[in-house]
Amino acid sequence: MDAEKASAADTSFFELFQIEPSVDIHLPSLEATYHRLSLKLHPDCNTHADLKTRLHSLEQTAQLNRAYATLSNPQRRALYLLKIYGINLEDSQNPLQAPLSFLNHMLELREQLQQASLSRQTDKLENLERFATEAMEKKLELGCQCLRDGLGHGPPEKLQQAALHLVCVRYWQRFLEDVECFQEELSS
Amino acid sequence: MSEVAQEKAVHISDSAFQRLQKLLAERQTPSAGLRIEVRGGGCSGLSYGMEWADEPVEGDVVFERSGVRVFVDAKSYLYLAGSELVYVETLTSAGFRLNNPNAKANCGCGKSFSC
Amino acid sequence: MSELLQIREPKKPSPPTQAVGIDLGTTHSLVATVAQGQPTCLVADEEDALLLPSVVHYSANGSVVVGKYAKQLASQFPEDTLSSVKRFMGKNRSDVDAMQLKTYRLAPGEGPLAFQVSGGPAVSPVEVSAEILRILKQRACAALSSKITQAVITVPAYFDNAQRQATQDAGKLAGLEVLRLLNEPTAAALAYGLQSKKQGCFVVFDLGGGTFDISILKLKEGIFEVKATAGDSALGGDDFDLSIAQALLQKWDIEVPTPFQKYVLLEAARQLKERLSHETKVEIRFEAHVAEITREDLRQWIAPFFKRIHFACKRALKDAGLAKEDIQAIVLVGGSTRMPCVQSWVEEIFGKPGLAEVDPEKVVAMGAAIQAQLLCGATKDSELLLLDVIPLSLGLETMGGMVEKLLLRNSTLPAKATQLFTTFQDGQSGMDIHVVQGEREMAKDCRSLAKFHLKGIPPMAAGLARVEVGFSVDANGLLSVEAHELATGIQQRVVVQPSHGLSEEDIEQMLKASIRHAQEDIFSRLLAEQQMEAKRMLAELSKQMGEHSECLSVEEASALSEAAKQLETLLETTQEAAKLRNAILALDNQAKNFTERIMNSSINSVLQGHSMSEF
Repeated sequence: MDAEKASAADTSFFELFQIEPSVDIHLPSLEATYHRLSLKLHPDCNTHADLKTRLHSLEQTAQLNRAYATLSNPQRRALYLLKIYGINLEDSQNPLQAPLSFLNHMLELREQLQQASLSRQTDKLENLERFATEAMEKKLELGCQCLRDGLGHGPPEKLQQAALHLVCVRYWQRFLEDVECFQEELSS
Repeated sequence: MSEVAQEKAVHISDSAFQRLQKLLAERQTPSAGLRIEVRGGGCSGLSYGMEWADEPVEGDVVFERSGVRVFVDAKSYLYLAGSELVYVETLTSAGFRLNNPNAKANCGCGKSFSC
Repeated sequence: MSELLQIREPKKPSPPTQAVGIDLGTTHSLVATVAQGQPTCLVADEEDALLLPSVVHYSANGSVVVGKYAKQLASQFPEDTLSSVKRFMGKNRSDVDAMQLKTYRLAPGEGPLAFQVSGGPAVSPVEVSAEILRILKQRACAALSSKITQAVITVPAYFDNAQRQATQDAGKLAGLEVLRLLNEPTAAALAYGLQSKKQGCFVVFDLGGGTFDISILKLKEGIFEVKATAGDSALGGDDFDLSIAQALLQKWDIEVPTPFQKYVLLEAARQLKERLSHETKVEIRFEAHVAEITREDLRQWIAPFFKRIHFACKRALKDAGLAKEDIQAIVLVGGSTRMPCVQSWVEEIFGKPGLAEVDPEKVVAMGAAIQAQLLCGATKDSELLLLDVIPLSLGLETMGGMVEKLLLRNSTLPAKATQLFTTFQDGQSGMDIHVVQGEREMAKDCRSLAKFHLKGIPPMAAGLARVEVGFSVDANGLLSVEAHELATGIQQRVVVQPSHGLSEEDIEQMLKASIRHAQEDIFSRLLAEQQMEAKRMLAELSKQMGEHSECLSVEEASALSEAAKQLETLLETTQEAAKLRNAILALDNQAKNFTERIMNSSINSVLQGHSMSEF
């Protein structure tokens, strides 16, 4: 089975929250809007309504939840913005590849990770975790900077650069997920 | 509290007094009282009912022994005057009983009586 | 002898609809409601304790006893008395560690997990839980003097789909409409938050008898938003007991072969654990063995669990995007948080001590009651809302056994996600869809929830057919899956089937049967209670007759013995509760003079220093 995300690419998440598509978002007001809309839409706040209305409110709340999860997280927000501008990194057909040097670095780190977990070195795992977290944040910030420059009427190559950074961010994220799995194994 | 002649009062025996005091403390409502009422029902016509009450209501006759209060509504009081509330523990059960001189016959279930 | 009167709690003016909250716990269960704006735990009458032990006994005569009476029977019938059944909810045979130091017998065979008990066919964990829920429902009906059909039942936040489904089925089987499966830490936060009126980020640390949950919530203007949850649905006080028991066996270098010995040892371990919450060292005895155990011993024995708990807490903080400094308070929930050792763990992890301002054993039921009140529509236009999350990621198996996650853990409920898949062979007419739950990359390492086959895809070249798979998780955390081929519109909908082996029809059947047998059930319950009462009374009487023979004449003594013997015979022969009850009352009456004399003599001996002055 080959995976490919449903292409529901639209700006509706930003519209839902009545804000302009942008890299930088004021989180407290995003949260306030989320709470206000939840109180209005959530099925639990519409227990007296008829079945049809409640089903509709369920749909709307699910969409609202997905929108909030996307917009409130900087990485997901950046990926969503790229998608709006026509670069869908979730599409497995996407030809973008991380640079070879980066992939080599990852391979090396993965070997270290294997070793640390085989020899049950929890401190080593923690060091790797810290290192990867910092590297990921740095890459994400680079990606966001390129996005800021490329959005609107900026040069299109900036968007390509942003996409490349975000591809690397995803490698780091998977690496961190693996670190966590090993940590869990060692804790039980 | 309404004035009632001694022989017409509802008496709270030592055993009932101690038990009520304990229950009220456990319930964390030392100022509440016990409402005793006589209702239609039971196998010989009338039956007793007891429940906790925070305050007496208008028309209640109130009996007190050192802070432990018993509330009886006016209608029930007609049947209960001169009764004694006792607390009994036996091998198999524990609970309250009303020794009511007005009751002519106790029924099998003990919850009801006739006058 | 006439029946004695009991004092009732006054009837509260009940709102038009009333629903209850139920905490269906591993060791204890309880039911609560909201009365006059306040969450209140319910009891049936003066004698019933607030907590109903989650213990169910199946007697040889087919009757079922639940709660404290069942617990009393556990030492005598360890194999027919089931406790901690929550641990088996939604589990397969293969999940159950056969080496566990447990006393029950698994029913043989390949089918769904069930326990072999006396007096009837094997019972599933769902059926056992339904027995507990039935009693709680009865309690609520009696206490509120109204018919209760709707309930919010709490589940550990870390319960997976199968465990939730099993809990919901147990509710249905008990004749309850389950308004919501509410996560226990969220329920606790609701009760705590409303009481303390504080705002900010809170941790709920819930360590019960069999499950561990940690939830991080943000409370803001009536919105209770769960930021992250983590835990272990098989870690709790029971595991501590097992570890203690195993450590003791090792210390004494012995083995315990019989179920009875296992029961006794586990009971001793539990008591040891509880006493060490108040004392610093405790002496434990098991058969001929004696040992003195200190808090430090206990700490060492259960230390391995700390790592798992620490990991879960760390992960929850990370997922919530918070540091421990951002946490306002840690609310302790569950009986195991009474242990000083657990409290010190909490402080070590979060850098501040936990709070137990609301009774940790009641707070979950109270929160469930508040949510029940909100959901049954008794309060209109409420400005209160719970936003909960899914505890584990949900995904599909793709090529090479990898997992493609559609919904990530800690996604807010209700949640929906869709994904497009395509065929990878020319002319492929069907597609296997395997739904899994868990965090691991490989499907084989995750929990398998359902497998189904989408048929009838029209022959096309590879990559042209487009199959959309949609996941939808409702507010109970229960998943349904939909798949359809976009070109032809072939559609298949699957509500993920519970793996404990009860289909919707099974439940319906059992429900019908239980309504048919409801009358019988009540009679067998009454009989079982009277049987126990008779046994208790006979034991008491023979004890008193032994100790106070001076209070009885020879004739009285032989008459009483004769009457006792008659009751004993009746106990073995009769199936009628009323007959037994009458015989008990008759014997009680006959013994009345005797017991009064005993009381008098003991009072006299206390008051005057010499006994029997009046006799």
